[in-house]
Amino acid sequence: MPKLAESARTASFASSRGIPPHTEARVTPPVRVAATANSEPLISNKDVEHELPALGQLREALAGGRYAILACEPTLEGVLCAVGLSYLAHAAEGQVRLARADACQPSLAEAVIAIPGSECDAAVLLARRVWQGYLRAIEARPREEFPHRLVYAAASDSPDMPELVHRYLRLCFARGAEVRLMTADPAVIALDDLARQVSNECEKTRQFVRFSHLADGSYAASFRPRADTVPLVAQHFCRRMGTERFYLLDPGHRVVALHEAGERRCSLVRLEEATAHDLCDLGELADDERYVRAMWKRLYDALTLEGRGPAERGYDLRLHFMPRRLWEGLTELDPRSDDPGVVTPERYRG
Amino acid sequence: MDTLDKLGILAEAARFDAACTSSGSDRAPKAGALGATTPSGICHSFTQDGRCITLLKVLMSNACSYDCAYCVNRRSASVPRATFSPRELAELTVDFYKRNYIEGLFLSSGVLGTPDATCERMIECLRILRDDLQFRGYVHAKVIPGTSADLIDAVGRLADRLSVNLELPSSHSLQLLCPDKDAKGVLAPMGQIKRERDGEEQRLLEESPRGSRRLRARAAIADKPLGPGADLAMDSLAVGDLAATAPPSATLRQASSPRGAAPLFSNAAKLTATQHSRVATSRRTFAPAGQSTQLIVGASDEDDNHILQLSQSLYRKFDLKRVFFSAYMPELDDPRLPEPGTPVPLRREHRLYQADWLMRYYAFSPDELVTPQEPWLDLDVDPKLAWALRHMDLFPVEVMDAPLDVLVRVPGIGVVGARRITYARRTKRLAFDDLRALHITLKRARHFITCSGQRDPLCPLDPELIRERVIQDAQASSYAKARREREDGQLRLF
Repeated sequence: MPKLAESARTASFASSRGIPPHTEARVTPPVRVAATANSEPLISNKDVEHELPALGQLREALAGGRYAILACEPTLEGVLCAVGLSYLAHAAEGQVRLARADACQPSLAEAVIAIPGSECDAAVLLARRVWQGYLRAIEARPREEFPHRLVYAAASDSPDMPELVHRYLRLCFARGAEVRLMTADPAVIALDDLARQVSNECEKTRQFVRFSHLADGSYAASFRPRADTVPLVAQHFCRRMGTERFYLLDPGHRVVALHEAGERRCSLVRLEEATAHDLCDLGELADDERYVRAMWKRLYDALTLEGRGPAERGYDLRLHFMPRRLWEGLTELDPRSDDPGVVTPERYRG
Repeated sequence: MDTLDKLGILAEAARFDAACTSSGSDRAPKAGALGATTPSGICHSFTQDGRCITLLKVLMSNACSYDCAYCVNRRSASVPRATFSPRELAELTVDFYKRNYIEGLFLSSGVLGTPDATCERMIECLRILRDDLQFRGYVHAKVIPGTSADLIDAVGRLADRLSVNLELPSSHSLQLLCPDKDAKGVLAPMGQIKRERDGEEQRLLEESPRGSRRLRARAAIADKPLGPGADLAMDSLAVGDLAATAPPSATLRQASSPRGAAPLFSNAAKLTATQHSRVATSRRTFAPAGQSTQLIVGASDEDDNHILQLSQSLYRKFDLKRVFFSAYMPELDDPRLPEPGTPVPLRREHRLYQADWLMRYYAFSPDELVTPQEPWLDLDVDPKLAWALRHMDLFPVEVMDAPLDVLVRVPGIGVVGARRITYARRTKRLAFDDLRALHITLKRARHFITCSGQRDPLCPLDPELIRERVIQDAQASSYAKARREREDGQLRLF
């Protein structure tokens, strides 16, 4: 079986934040799958049969005339692996459906088969093979936007995500590049809707993440998006903050992007629940942090214009753009930010 | 006074500037430098009244030596004054940027003595930001009318976007309310910025073989060269010979990814009906994000027809990226201005923005929206719907074969929705349910379309009945109700 290349550049930063070394190797799924080069060897059918017992279980269920529900990790890797197994088991579209492992509700006629996720190298390799097949089917060109809608859709928190991606992939394999023109097909519309929702959530992440300056000179932020957006936006923050050491944590999806000053890329790490919880505590702040927060809040408060608020407008425009669920993390809406602390940084003493 | 207190004063002084965008620039990151820009810009917060905050929008100083009647910072006003040092403001920008509060700096200032002295101070701030602090984020700099050409050139090399505020829509109003400014002084920097950008574009095109071919192809179109900006008068802009300087007619483009696939994520800048630049913004060194301006609405008596004609001329003559409208907030007791307490003309500002959008993205001309005989936009109904109701003879349109420029004129179908329809109909006969799935706003659109020859069964056939129903719907919105309650009870001064 081919070996997976591991990424572990930020060992010191990770360990300084209490991230166990063994978790660091787990680079987030979209990057692992979608970044695969065409020339890399793909996992063979024989290796899949040997490494993934779920294939045998699925074949057995189908041979017994049962329907199957594939309970998979809600990641691109998990879903692509499940789709790959369903094809290798020669399951017709109606015979299997995919569901999130954490929200799987089988009917009496369905056999539940657990599909391994990104912790399993064979699953990742099978996912890569499916990804390559998908690119070939739709005749994708390098750096083209079209295939990446699948990556966005797979980052959705929707309970229907695995099955919607499954149906879309089946359509791609059946119709090939013609899918590009099938804008009004229900499977295409459903996938595009998911991708758009995730894209919107990515934009919210880029907008509303707030970094804090820590005592060790690094920057840190914790953000809870409604999709697995951190892997998709990490490079954006890397472009912005290339000179800084920082981390961006999503405790909900238990993923963190780590960046060392001067590096061109972030490292993405899936975390254990306890580690994610520990990282939420940013630790000691830098001396200037309270003062800068206070300045930002002062600016925010000063920019408001009277006569244009919700009462005068008939609806709350701010809520429309900035949902209340995100307010908790916004420095400018936190009354504690009014306090500039006891230290006025030298450069701001006037 | 420490920076915290200065910031309170100078942000409050800058809040009336409507422009707060960080779009139009595409600067890649560089090793050892902080930041980058993205073409679409990012809004990092929204004020209580819902306006976007994307840049650190402050004045360098509010100790202004001008005495414009509508301005809270005017010389004769009794307000606390403050001035940032160039380094202080540059450091502040970097601190906010690193915390993801902003995309960059919006630098404006009251006139500190003379326009040139003010501009030199602004340039020093930007020099520190770009050179000392190695900042590659977005900078929007305001050019004060009367600034020397060499200083405008210098600030344009440091900033992404420049803007010169017209403030008032006619020479008469400018003379009445801003005794220290004149129309010539306002338009001259706009002309210079346009010429410098055109010159750089020409040079960049000549440098590349592909660009040279494009240049030769375009030579046949022969845009008439613009006269120097200083020779233009603001009023002649609004009523002058537009055709003489108009670029080739506006067209809508069918954006698509390779092999005809519908793009999932639309790049709004590519959907505009105006002529696009022939060189990438990342190659430009002078004001890569172009220029914009602002007009105050409701402080003087110009009608919507005048304002929209003026906007159209500005887009065409100076290649502006945006004209911003700022509803005047009557706070000052001055006989030349609306009385304090008069409701802010929010609906008017909103309708003007909608009309502006129709001109830039939908290829409408101002004459289609307002006329000298009917010079005001309808406050109850949006301008596109109002246009459609005046042209009921053009509807319904058939979604299966209507061209893109017709589809975008259907109320409820936007520039993205129209493009989705044109893609979807290639492989499927569309029904109303398909349009709903494609996120077309059927509540409005259903009255103006047919799908494969079929009308929506819930839609009346009689144009008068349609008119009645859509106007009722528009008037019933919470926005329309709230604004009517506040605005209709008041006398309209202008």
